[in-house]
Amino acid sequence: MGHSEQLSGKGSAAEKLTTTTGTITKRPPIRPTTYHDKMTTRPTVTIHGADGTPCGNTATLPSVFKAPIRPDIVQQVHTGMAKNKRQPYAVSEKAGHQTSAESWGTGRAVARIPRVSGGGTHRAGQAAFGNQCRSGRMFAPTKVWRKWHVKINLGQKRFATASALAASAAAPLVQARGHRISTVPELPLVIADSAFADMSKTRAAVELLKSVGAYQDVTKASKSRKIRAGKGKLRGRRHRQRRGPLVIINPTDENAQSVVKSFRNIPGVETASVTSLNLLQLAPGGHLGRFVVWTESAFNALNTVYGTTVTPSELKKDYLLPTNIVSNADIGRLINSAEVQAVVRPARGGPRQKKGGKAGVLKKNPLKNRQVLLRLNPYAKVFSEQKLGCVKQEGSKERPGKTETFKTIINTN
Amino acid sequence: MSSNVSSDLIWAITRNNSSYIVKRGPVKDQIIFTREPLSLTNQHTRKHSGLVNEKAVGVQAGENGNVVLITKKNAEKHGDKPASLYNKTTFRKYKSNRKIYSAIANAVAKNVYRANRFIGRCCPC
Repeated sequence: MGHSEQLSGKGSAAEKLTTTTGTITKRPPIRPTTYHDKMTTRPTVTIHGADGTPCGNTATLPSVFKAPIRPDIVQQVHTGMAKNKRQPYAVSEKAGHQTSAESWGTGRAVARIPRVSGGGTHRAGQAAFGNQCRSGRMFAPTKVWRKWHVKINLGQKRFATASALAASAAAPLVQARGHRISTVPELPLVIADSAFADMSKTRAAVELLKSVGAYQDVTKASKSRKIRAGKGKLRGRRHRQRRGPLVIINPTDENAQSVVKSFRNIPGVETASVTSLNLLQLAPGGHLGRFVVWTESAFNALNTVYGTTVTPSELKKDYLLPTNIVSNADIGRLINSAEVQAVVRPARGGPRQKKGGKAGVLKKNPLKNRQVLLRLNPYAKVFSEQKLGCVKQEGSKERPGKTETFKTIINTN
Repeated sequence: MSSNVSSDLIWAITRNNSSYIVKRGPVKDQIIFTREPLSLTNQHTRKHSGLVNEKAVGVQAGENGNVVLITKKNAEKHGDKPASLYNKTTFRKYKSNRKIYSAIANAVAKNVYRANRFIGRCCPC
């Protein structure tokens, strides 16, 4: 691998470092630049027309797509937010206690649990109150004053939203979330405003999704519709199905309402306003990478809504986008960069390993590796070439099994 | 793809949570497979993940018993363009297996496309 080559050149690099300044940066990259290195800047995003082909215009990539992708923050915020829609429930305060049971005490050869008094019915004499009893109260009865809601810091919420948006532009993450995007021309998928201009029918919305290659995901969502297991069926959650594309619109557009209405009856498709994005939609289940379809004006509004890392947002007070701690997320590239390689110690297990160098090298088994054997025992060569191991020892005694006496004894009847 | 995303990050995110993951066996010695189309061994590992790596090879069953070879194009240009990211080559089923093997090998390993991953996995050379 290229790794050992780096190491051999390292000594000279270190010298350069001490003698002249600035030479390090001129060294050629050790590893050929790859996938993501070269992708560090992609300033523009193609805008697609109603027919799914590029309409000629482009948009600059809003800064929010460069926000750090932090699944940990997204997950934590999602867990909190998902709790904030809950309504209190509890068993009745009286459940299991609506009887005048008293313990019989000792001496009646039954357990000392409270028992229902009286006679004439089956209930009399039965145990009551305890969580182990039939018709008793439950263990630790649920209370309406349980802590149902979670406060989430606003900064964290915004971080999570920015993070989820950034992840929605990374094709591998969208695929890993399960969206079917193999026919989508580009992520983020931005569609020209003209395509929405006089959209008022669901039929038109479906046509649009088909032409931009987003309909596979709708099909997936629609086919996934199943009847829910459990009691949820009776509680207004009869079906469960996958999430499809999220269409994000700009509410200030004239026909925003009719666009929302056009999309809302398509299975799995949700719409959202760019000014009030919700993490529960951007990262359902806390999993990054929702497939998002942008209208052009919503996409262009992102810099207004979120600002950049240096310009505050216009709509959020004192808000700057979070910055990446590491400016290049490709850690392998950083490790293999000339600057880092110039100052690290030689790797263990490099070329020196073969010479049986110092501790830390890979040990090789001399019984299996002939080269290592010969290094340890040069005589092994002669020994095997002359087959000294097979030479019969001189003056050796006859083997016991081969003597005549033995044979006669063993063959005697 | 912008500078905040890298193969390493994608792997860190998809390692524990991906729609392609298939877990089999009891928890103590569970095997984790992947259903990614661009995975030759179907193991859920950094090395074999077609989502994560910039170059990846997949061999799939096509229509009517054909064999489809999928490779990733230049990720710099096509990284976030799912529709144009993949090269697909179809081999007719009437070709002998040996010929399909060598055709795939020629297309991939001998062109130094993920050669280290490929040789010994699928092609007989």
